[in-house]
Amino acid sequence: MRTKSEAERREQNKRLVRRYKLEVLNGRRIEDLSQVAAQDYLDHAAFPGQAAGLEGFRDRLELLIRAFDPRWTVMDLVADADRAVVRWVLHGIHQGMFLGFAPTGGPIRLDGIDMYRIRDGKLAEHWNVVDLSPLAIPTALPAGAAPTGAGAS
Amino acid sequence: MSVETDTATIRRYYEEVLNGRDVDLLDRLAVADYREHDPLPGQGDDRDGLKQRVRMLIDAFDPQFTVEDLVAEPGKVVVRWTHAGRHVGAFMGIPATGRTFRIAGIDIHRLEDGRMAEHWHVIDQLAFLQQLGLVPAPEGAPA
Repeated sequence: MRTKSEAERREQNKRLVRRYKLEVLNGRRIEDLSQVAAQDYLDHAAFPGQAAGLEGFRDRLELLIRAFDPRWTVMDLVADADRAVVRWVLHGIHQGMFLGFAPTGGPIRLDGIDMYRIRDGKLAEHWNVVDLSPLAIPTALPAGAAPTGAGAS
Repeated sequence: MSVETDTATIRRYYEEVLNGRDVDLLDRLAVADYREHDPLPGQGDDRDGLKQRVRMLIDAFDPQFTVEDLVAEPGKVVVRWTHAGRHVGAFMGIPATGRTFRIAGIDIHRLEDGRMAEHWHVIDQLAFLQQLGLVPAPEGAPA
């Protein structure tokens, strides 16, 4: 029953990603990261200077938590037998330095989509796109003054 | 419809509609009441709005999309892409800069009976604005 088994794997992959975002990240249980991510985790969207593997992954999450005190909301999940995709919204406070952007102390909303390859029930590889333009575009601009959606498909 | 049919529809969207400039093919690839969750400024509703969106992109950016990866489940197809373009026409009141850019994005498409029905995306808008010289890169930020 190949079809059923693929459907089950899809659901397992979605459960894994949901658990990572909600329990490990939002629950600040970074010590549990090794339960959901592989030791040789490969990040194709690594921050500058991010170390390889699980150690670098942990550093990345700690940087995000220091910079934004973030809360992720899972908006959508799509999966096949080996991969899962999550569309999310992050709400937080820009309270720490992030990729050269100085903290404003103000609220921030970021939108992103992560794509993971999953191996043996753990996140093994990662790609993503995050719209970081809210960090660069002054909030003093009236709504709609900044280009949005440019370059889209 | 099968995942294979959905995937084929989505590949045609990037290859034939966007890269091939065949906007009218959308009459066959998309449902009439297509729903856009991330419209371009000024984009109208439905499939006509989608055609208008594609024409805006073609006129402003001379786009070339590369499908880098694709994840599909029944009724949904996710595409991670790279868009290499040039700012050749006015966009949102910003006159053409002539600059080239290369940005990443991920689209989530929902399909009905093998046709595009709904869309969400996230694009690397910061990289886009920086490459067009519309916002400065911060000190120490990645290029």
